[in-house]
Amino acid sequence: MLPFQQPELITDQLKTLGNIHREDFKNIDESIRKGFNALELESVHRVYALGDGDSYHSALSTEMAFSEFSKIPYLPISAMHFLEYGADYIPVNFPRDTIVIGISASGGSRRVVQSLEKAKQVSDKLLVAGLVGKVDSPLAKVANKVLSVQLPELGRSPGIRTYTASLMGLIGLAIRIGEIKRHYHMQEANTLRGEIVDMADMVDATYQAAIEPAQEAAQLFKNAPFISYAGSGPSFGSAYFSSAKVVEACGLFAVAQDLEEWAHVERFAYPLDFPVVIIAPPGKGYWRALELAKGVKTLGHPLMAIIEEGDKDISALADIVLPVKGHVREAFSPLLYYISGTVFAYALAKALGRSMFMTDNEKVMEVREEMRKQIRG
Amino acid sequence: MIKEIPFKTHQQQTWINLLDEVNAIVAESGVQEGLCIVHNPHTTGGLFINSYLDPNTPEDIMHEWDRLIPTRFDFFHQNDTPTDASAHVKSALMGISCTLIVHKGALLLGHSQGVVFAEFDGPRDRKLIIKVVAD
Repeated sequence: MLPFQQPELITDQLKTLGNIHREDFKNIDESIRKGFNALELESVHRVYALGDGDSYHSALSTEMAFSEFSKIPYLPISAMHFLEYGADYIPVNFPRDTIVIGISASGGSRRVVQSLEKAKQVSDKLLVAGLVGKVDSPLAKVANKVLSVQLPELGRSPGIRTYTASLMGLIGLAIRIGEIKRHYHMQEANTLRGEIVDMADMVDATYQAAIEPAQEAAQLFKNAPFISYAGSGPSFGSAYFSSAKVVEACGLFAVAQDLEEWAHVERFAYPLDFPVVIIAPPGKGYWRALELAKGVKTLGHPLMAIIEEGDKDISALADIVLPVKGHVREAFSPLLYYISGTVFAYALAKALGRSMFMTDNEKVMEVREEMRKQIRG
Repeated sequence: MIKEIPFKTHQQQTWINLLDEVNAIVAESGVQEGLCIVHNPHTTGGLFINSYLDPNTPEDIMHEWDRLIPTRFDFFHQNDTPTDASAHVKSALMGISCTLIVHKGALLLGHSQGVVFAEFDGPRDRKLIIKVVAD
């Protein structure tokens, strides 16, 4: 059974995020470059990225990066879905034309390991890789190629630093594929990599800027029956991750939905005043986020917005704004736009007086141990 | 005296004749008798002296380098791109500097000889470094 997990584990992680950009990204990028050779990346025409939990969210969040830089079909998929409803239907045409990447920070996620085993059984023409936070893990052993996103250990942790590392690994791979396929020169690729390093100060500033409004929001929303998150494109992944942190941090139910889909479905949910969090960086989906924000307010929901500092439109509608400090291209926004929601998750845990992963409730934890074994083996 | 000639290349593989720019530096130096060293500080570009009067001539030279050292995927240097890896080899084999004679205040060259930078992995920002030395 997990030992007692204080919510402060979240802020311990958040304080170090800037240094992952400054110091660790270059190691992650080097691992990506060494993971596949030029012939393999030139040949690839399709990427499956699969995972569970945070790893799945990182796959969702990086779809735009693959679309924009590698310009090949990219399929983010949950490990269970890939295992039983995906692997058997992969079109296997030529050697090395498909990469299957299993993502797992611990390297021990059972369904991800099984998925890579299945992929290897389906065909030896597939490039089967593990994006892992532990290079001596079961996933690393089963993969044909290991892409290490290992970070210096900081002790037991919720998946925050490892989420950043997974995002960096996937975005780094997207850039690398585009570079090898000559969609842009290596100098341009290095400029993109430089943008990721240069985000360090924005990351630190965004964390600091979220603290006060997140506390205010936590007091307002701590008695809500659930929290509803909405975002599109890369922000759908950010919304998914942010909602997961609320559930993990304090057990308050939270759920993510696409901006458009929210208007089709969630608008019919009771109570009429459940809080809505919209994640909306500047970019392709912003217009729809603004429309939804107007709609949400008209329906009577309290609205919290995770938006770029200086935003004038959605900020005018929101009851609470968690400002993102700095401007990044939308494909890189997942590296920045999950931070505020994570601070909010911490603030909720403190407001509710709960520990992470139900570790303060021994009776509840005993019952859940069986399920933990199902996912870890 | 050291001078630089900055320039940009605009294609992955191309050539630029910089004879006029080198001549201008020699003239500016005031050296009547001496040597002019032209140095290319880049490891993915080359330098050669050859005819530029018909642009097809440098074009042929560049194509021949590409035929001799085609871009492949199995270079040992995998950190960057295949074109970068082949460019390093081309640069090493072509050479990156030349020493020219300055006589009566000008470069002593054949009438059709140009000072040509060979770009093997552009587009990039490039430069040549020129040193003019009096006898």
